[in-house]
Amino acid sequence: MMDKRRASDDERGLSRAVAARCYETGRDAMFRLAWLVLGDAYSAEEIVQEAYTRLWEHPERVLAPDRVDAYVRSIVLNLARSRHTTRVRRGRLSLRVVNDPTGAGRTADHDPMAGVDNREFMSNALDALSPNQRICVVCRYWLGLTDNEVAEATGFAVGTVKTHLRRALTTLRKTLSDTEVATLEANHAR
Amino acid sequence: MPVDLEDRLTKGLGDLARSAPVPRHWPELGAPVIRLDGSSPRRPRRVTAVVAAAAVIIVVATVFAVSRSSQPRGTTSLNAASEPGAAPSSTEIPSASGAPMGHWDPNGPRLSGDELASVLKPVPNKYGSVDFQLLGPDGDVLTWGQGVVEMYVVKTTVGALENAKGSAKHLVDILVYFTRLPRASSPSSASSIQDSTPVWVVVGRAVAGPDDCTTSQQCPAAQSDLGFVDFLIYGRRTANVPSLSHPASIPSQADLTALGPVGRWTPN
Repeated sequence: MMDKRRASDDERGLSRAVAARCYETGRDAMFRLAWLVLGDAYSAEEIVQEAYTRLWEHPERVLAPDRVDAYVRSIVLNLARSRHTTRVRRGRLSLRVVNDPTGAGRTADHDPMAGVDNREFMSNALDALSPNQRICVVCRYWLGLTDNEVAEATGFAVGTVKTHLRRALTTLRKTLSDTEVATLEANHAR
Repeated sequence: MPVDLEDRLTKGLGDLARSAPVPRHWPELGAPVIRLDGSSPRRPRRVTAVVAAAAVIIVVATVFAVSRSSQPRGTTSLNAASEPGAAPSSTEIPSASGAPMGHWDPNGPRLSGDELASVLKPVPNKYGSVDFQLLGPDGDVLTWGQGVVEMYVVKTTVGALENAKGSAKHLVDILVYFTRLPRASSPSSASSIQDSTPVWVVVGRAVAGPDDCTTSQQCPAAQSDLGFVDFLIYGRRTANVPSLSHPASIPSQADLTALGPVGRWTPN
């Protein structure tokens, strides 16, 4: 028993070093992922910290270092989904793009007005989706994951992912007026 | 149209992600997190304790409900045998070969529910319910692999199991392993469970067992014999007690039900 405990401690120490490095390099990307899904910077921070805390406490659950990001991403998405389901007011999900109350988030070399149409479009689009659809859309179109990878990250079946994505696109087309879509596509084509 | 919309999503999400606010603070990984409002980012331990206590109650209630539901299947359960007037008597227990290997003494020493519950460790299983294990003297969870040489059938209450605290030094060498717990408890049955609701617990004290019986799956006979209380209890190796050759020589359900609800089984 003691040997097993010592072995476990050794494995944990080794994996914690990897976990610490992944925390340094991956937390900003995870934060953006959580923020896109939740639309709330404070909740996104909490979720990312919670996800990495879980990794820190149980690093042995990750079988290989290159799986750390996938493991943390899965936790982030699950936590984000839980937050979605417990929120009472959907209005809190609104992304604050133009009127960001924090006034932060713009990097020095980033024009805050650049791509504002896209951000408005996305803000409206994401708010029209269900939490699960929103998660799938972010994973698919921002992270660029395949359907199988989205399924792995979210815990959904692949068929469920496809269904969420299909319905999300349908919802987006219904939500946005034909004129708006046409305008956006015309701008996109320029 | 669909392709254009998807392209738009890709570009729009990228723009939106770049406009994400900057996190206020990234704490050091592994450092204790203290918040101004005093809250914890982790589930408070007291909440975990409450959840664990609730799981204990549910499982005990479920075990009791199942033990009651097993009565109509043509067998007399311990529950029925405990009715007033059902005087148990000492009876020899035949082994698989037919030779007597022990007997039940209904007036033998019994384990209290408080003592038993104090060393129970609830372990969530993959079915969503909770298995129970008993801790050894060094705090390790004891495992399968020992034969039972002494067995107790203890009558206690839900309240005693729930509320028991402290230690039971003379029981720390006993392993409890519950088997065949129901996958889900019946809300109607659970709601009728009170602190005074009686439950029966089988406790076995072991010294040595077959080396080939190291998992629950390898001891099907023992499980089936004691299935009427829905759990098995194995003991730990101790000295000065004769061993059994195999858990299958544990008294059968028919033997136990004929003996009564409480008692002590002593090997020859």
